[in-house]
Amino acid sequence: MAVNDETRLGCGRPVEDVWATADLPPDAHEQTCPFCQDARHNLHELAEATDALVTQEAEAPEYAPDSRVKDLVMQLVHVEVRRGRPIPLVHPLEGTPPSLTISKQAVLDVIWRAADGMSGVRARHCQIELEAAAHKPGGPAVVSLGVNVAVAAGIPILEVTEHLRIRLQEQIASETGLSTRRINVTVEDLYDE
Amino acid sequence: MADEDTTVRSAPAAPGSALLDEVTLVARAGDGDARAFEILIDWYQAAIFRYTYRMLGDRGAAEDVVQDTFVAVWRGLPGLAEPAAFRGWLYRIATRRAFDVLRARRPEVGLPMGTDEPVITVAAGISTAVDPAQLTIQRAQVQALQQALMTLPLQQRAAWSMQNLEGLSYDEIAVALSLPVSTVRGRIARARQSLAGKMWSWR
Repeated sequence: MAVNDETRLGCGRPVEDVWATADLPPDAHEQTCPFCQDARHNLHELAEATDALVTQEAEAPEYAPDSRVKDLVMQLVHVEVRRGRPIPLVHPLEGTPPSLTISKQAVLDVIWRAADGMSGVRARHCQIELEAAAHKPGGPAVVSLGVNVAVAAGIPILEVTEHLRIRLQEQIASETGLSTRRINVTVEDLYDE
Repeated sequence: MADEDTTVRSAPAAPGSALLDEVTLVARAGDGDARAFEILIDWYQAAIFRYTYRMLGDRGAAEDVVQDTFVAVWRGLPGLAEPAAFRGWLYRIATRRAFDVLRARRPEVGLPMGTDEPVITVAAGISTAVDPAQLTIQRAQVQALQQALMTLPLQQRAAWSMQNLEGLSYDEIAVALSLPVSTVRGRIARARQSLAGKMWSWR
């Protein structure tokens, strides 16, 4: 290639300048300059080869990992699945350990499924806090939730988040028996449907 | 690459449920949702495999890196502060593991690698080319590019591949290589110059 240092062609033009306009017709200098013609030609050659390599890799089975790779990862994921700390379902009597608990992960699943059943909202990161002060001994345990969501652009945010709050309260009560004291919904993102 | 464009991808976390975008899946996987994590594997495992296969030239080693990468991703997700930065972070983990494999093979990692590196060649055809003569030319071009890639210093090879074959942004590549964006731009510019300079010789 006609490059006499790292950045300049034999004619003195920076190669990056020539490449920056490689999609345009050659200017008067480039029409006659063999260095610039070489540089333009080589870049087009590289672009063609890159496109061909992308196509080849996307189509050839040799460029996909064996299915066992994912299987092994998922086996480990299921072994290590983060259940989180257990949440008592019924507030225990003073001095006694909770006799019935639910994993934090199971409550998260209820939250995500409840949100997934609604259109226009996607539940993301969630926090679950046990509200010890609100407990009545022998009554259902009380939790507060923090739910980060993305909301579809153009829909009324107050309406959809209120709907989500009601839905979460109902689903958590019916599926786990837990009572929810407070549900903070944070809209962190908007998305296009 | 268009099929790796995360801004338009979505998938249901469970059959019949709402479509979820990448940031939502990353946030849920960070909270321990195995189904969300499995979708992320489906979306990225082929790309990470191609990327590491290109770096290592060895199927088995590339598959090991893919496996190690996703295990590390699963374990590291709860600490990922910004789910939108997932792709750069994923490639950083894969890049570090691939570099570790190369370092174990030869001590002079970071220096230009010799042309004795194995070159990945694939016999499968390129279906978009129907003219046999054109197909032959494309194959020769691809082989020349693969050989030229293997002669680049490692970080140039990784940076150029991530930009031109994986579709990552400069910002994402900077995260992946733990380098300033300006350095990434320089490495890619030098890689492009080297590669373009070598392309004339394939004929």
